[in-house]
Amino acid sequence: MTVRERAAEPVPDQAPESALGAEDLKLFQESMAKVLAGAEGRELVSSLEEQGWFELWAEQPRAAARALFGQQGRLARTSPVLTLLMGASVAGPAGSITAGSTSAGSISGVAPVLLPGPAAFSASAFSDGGWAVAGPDGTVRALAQSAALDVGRAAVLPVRDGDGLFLVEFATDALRRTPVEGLDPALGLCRVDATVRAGTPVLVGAEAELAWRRSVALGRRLLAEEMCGVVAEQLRLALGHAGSRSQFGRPIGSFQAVKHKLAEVHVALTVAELAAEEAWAQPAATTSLLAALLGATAVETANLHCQQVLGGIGFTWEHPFHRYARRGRVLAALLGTRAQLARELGGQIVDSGELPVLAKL
Amino acid sequence: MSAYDRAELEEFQRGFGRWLDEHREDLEPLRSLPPELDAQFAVQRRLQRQLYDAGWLRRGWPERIGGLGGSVVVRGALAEGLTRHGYTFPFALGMIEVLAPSVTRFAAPELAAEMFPRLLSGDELWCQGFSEPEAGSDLGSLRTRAVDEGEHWRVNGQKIWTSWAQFAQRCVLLVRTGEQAEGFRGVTALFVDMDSPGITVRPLRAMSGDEEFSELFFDDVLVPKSRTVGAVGAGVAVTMAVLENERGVLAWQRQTWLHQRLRALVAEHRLQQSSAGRIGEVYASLYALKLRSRDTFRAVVAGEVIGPRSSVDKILLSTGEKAVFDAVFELLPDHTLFDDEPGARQWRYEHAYSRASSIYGGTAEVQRNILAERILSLPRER
Repeated sequence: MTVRERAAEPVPDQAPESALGAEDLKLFQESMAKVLAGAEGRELVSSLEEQGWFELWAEQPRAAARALFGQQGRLARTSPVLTLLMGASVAGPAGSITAGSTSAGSISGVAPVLLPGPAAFSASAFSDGGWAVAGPDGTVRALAQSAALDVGRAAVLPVRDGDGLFLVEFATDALRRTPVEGLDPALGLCRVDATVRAGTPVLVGAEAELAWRRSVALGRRLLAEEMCGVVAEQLRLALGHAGSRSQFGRPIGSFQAVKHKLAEVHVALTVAELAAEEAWAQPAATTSLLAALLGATAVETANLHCQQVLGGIGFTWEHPFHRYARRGRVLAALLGTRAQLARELGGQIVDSGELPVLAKL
Repeated sequence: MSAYDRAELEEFQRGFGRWLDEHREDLEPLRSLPPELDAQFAVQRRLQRQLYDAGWLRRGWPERIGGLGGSVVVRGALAEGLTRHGYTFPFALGMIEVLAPSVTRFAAPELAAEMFPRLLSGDELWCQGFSEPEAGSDLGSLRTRAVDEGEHWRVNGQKIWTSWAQFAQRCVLLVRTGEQAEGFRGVTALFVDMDSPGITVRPLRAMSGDEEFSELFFDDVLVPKSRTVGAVGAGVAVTMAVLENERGVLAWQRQTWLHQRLRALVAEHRLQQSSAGRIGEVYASLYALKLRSRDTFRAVVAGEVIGPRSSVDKILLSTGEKAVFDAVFELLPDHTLFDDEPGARQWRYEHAYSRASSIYGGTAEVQRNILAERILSLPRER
């Protein structure tokens, strides 16, 4: 059964964990794992369209995000869907993929976003971080998912030029691309350089700000799901090792020092998953920021403790751990690092003297 | 949450909020507690009595023990409502949430029906005789002995860390009725009158400055067999139920209160933007605690058994509580270290108390062992 067929099935209204039952979600996840293993880039997007993923996304974004991004994290695979969906969100209401697409259930024609990079989220004014700043000569620099540039004919970048805020659309052939290896070469990022004059402003001022904020919130929710997947896999690897590796005549997982590290990871993962879930249930800037912040916290905790528990073998190239450590660290920085997110949130609290009231009973 | 629980919750919140507004002046003295312990208890008993007489406190408790029935969710709403309106959540109500569900579940129905209304109305207070000088985290090694004398148990031994024992009329006491080697299997729970001959209470002064805890000494104390809570040798079930109860209504109250304290920090003190990162992290840890407590509380409302997963809640409660008061000390050093006005004293008291949050109710180490062995299935140490 394809995702599309499953999506058409009625789902119970009041399921406790997810609008999808646990069984259905598992099946989705399995089919996503196959898709992710079988294709990359533009081909992967076509497979997702064939599987009905974008239709599921339109109806049940949380289940769709969990199935695809959660699996990306667990398998350390990637797709250009992050910046494509962020692009669709810039163009239309949150999560909509109809704007710019030629038919329902497809992402074709959507202009992906370019990412200004983590430095942009250190803006001194906390509420309007995340903009690429144009140089005096109009040059801008950003990151892109290379495969997303192959799917869309144009790409959108949020630019601060002088005092103005603009969402600027560039034809992809107007962008100079340099592939990025960086910490995680498998992530398929590239740097792009352009001059503002080569693009077309599609939204300006307050409208641009609102659209970009919405898009960032969506991106943070998606990244939160992916980070949860990365951490879950790191924990699985470390638990397997702790149960099978023996020293001093007993499995190392029987030592309390090891147990406590893994219990810490479990706690961090549990709250990261809850925060991701809440961000889909109450999609807003603050809940999305908190999902990314608690996701990044889980990534840090897992990188620290799972690496230590995996010992020497975890330090080798052949062991998969390093792929997850790299992936987690980059995902946790793409739309603001943990420290930047904490400062953004705390800055609002300090300024207003009030706490956001979230997660009501 | 079921539609039924949701409707009851909203009806309760509306009604209780209105009642609090209408009785604002009347309740005003209950907003700030006097420094002396006896006076604090008197004030809190008054609040408890008002809540009882108005019926709010009886809701969410079964009718067979003197409650008004209905969903447990309203008990969480009561705790949240009081706390958010700036009233102290009475110590007694916390104790009720910890002990009453277990006692009323395991004790003889007549005993529960007789004792519970006195507790809920504030006429009486209960205390918890669990820990011993030689049995802290390793509760199964406790040595206070109860010898079967036909009609009675004869109890000898010593307890420690019993909160508010000097004010309590009854004690839920864990005693050894089997062999020492049986560990927890030889432990039984009793419901003991604190005025029984042979009980001595000696308060201990905690580092917070309060005489909250006491040592209890039992010298040939006779306890009627009818006061046995649950089966003989089934003390472990009562104990586990008590520890789990700390994660339901009480955890929901606790996170509400921690949010109130963080709100007080940012609203009453002019913080610099340089503290933004710290404040953001503290808020995130309380948000994590709140999400988890809500999840668990909803499960309690639905009647689910919580089990070992509640150790996550306990860890989050402790890290969240320490995070708030560590931040206060860090961001307001002059105020918290050198001022002697009531606000500064309160921060100091709360900071000191937060140190115990990873010790009482099962230490942070025990909670991590539970998660590792019972959730993550790592091998046991022995």
